[in-house]
Amino acid sequence: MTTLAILIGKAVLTFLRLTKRGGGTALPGLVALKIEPKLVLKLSKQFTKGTMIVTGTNGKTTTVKMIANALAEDSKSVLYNSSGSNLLRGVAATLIERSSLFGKLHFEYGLFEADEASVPAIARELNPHTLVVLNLFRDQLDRYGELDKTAELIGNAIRNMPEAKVILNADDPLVASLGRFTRNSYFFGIDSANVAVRTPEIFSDSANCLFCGEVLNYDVCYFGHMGKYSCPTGDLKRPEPQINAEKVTLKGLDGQTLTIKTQYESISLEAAIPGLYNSYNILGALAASIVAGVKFDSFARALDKFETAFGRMEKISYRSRYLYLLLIKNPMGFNQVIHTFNAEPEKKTVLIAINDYFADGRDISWLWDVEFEALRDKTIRIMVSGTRAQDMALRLKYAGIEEERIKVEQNLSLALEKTIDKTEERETLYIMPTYTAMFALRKYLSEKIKLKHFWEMG
Amino acid sequence: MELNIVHLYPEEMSLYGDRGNILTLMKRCDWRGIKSTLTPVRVGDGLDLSRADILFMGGGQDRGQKRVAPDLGKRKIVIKKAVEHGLTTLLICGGYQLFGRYFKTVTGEIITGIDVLDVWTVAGNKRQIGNVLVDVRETSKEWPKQMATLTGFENHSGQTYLGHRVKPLGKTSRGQGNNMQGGVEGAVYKNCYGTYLHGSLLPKNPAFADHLINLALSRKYGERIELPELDDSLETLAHDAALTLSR
Repeated sequence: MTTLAILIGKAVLTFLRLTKRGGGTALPGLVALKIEPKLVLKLSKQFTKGTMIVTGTNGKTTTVKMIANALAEDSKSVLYNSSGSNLLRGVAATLIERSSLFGKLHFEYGLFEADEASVPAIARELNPHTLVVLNLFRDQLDRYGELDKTAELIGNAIRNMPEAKVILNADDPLVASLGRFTRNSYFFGIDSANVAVRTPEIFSDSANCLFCGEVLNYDVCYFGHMGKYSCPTGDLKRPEPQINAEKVTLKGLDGQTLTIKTQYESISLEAAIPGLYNSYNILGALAASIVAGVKFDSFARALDKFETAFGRMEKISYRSRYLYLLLIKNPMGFNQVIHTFNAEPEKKTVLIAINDYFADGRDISWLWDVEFEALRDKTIRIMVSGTRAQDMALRLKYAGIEEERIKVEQNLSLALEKTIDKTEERETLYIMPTYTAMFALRKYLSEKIKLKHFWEMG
Repeated sequence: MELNIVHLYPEEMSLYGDRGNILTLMKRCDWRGIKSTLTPVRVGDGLDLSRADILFMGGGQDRGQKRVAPDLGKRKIVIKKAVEHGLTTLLICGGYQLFGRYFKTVTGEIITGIDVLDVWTVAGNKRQIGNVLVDVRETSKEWPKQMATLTGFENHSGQTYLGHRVKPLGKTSRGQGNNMQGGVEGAVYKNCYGTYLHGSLLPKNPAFADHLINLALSRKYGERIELPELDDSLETLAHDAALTLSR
């Protein structure tokens, strides 16, 4: 049945690509799994050095790409899924695409990003030797229900992989607490006072102790609920990370420098990707790479060359302007994007595109938890677009931004062109789209200029 | 004129944009030259409602609600008395449930509410999720500006049932509302409003926001207040767009 499943899966994939119906990152897998439900389990046995899973609310795609690049730089062969094929069917689709007609795969490592709720299903089939959990933020509640239940699901998956190395973000209380399900935990965290903020930004994420419910005390807070925390009754305390960033220097959209202490040595890393949220992605990727035996020099070289994954902080040149695509999915991510944008000296023009299709999250109430007040600078031009453009405009009005400054154009491509019309050549336009809006804008741009297909960007 | 808002358990109970309601109330006062203050009340804090004009409580996760419920229980007498005397109150989702008689979880555990609203909630096994439209023509007859429809978004598995001492907020014309059978949404008792609507609720339903402000100020200053009109073109744009959203 395996061969049949692969043949049919490949046929579906070819059909989709030929008729330009989409990248074929999931449907081939869905079809194939119906024929052979154990397809992923069977095919993944061929990875000679085993498999790794990366999960979390934000940063999966970026982190996977970093690890993949590091492995490649260290001359290790790796197969990984890309751009949102992170459900079981997406993993299946990836395996089908990269295997021969008879299902032969020739890779040392299998590396897969997994949607948080899919970790149990995917882990069951892959039996990974490494799991990375980057963070858990409130995201698209209309899809998952609640954060605690998501953590519980991941916790159960961890219990079922006692041999695996479980790499956890020490600075995220809910993630760190997952360490109790394994004896092989490996923590990463930040210990750099210069990037701390005064008080935790708390919007009902997980700043309460998981065990007793008390509000956590923070010595230092970096953003959201990330920081150095402890429960007043002693149930929970940030674990000492084995990979500890002792100094983080942020350089706006240009990137950052990290000084990291591991168990072996103190190392310095340069990256061209911005923001504290990416600092954590770098640390998670470093931890996974160390576990996979990647030489530090290889990791550093790979990081130095690193370009962000499709749609996450992507820079595109169009009509002599620079467009930054900054994907936004939830309040924490959006706040970080705004924060990074505000640190730019040349900040001028913003296009916020809010769609409410299933993949974006149907409930846009979360926009009221984003700190748009930070965009009140009168020199910033704002255009809002997408299916919920009017709601976004309203949110900005209540954030204290004058109505005259808010331009509304629901149609994404029109909004993009209109916004560009108002800018000068060589200016930078910061685009903040939800998931499907980003896809739509990229599709539009790729029809105008030569853009890599999202499935090629890997 | 000044409006004092008391916000119960802002950290645990502001799950999904519910803060937007507080923001709307304060901004709509601000734009009219009315000063507003916001007093958060957290677990263990003192609660003085004598100078409160509006009381607000939003929704939260199970974990947060479990922590908050006993503390809320300690305020039962103070809050009940204030609501009986006409305190303007807005409750969203979890707040709505906890102000009822009780909440029965999936495992059969009973979480006691403070019995301010004659409602009770039973955890269901299906989530009610999606855009909601509520016909409030009846309810809004007494408001400064009558409204046809409230727009919002529901996301709950709790099934809430109304007793005799409350009226529904309105009839659902899209979405399910309090429970899967009923066809009504929310509950109203005196000046206390409970609802499952996120969105946030008030920004796209400015007439409701102004009604709450009006209620609160009129009670405080002992006379019918005429709030100056605001330019609600953006609110209306967003509201009307929401009327056409699919479930």
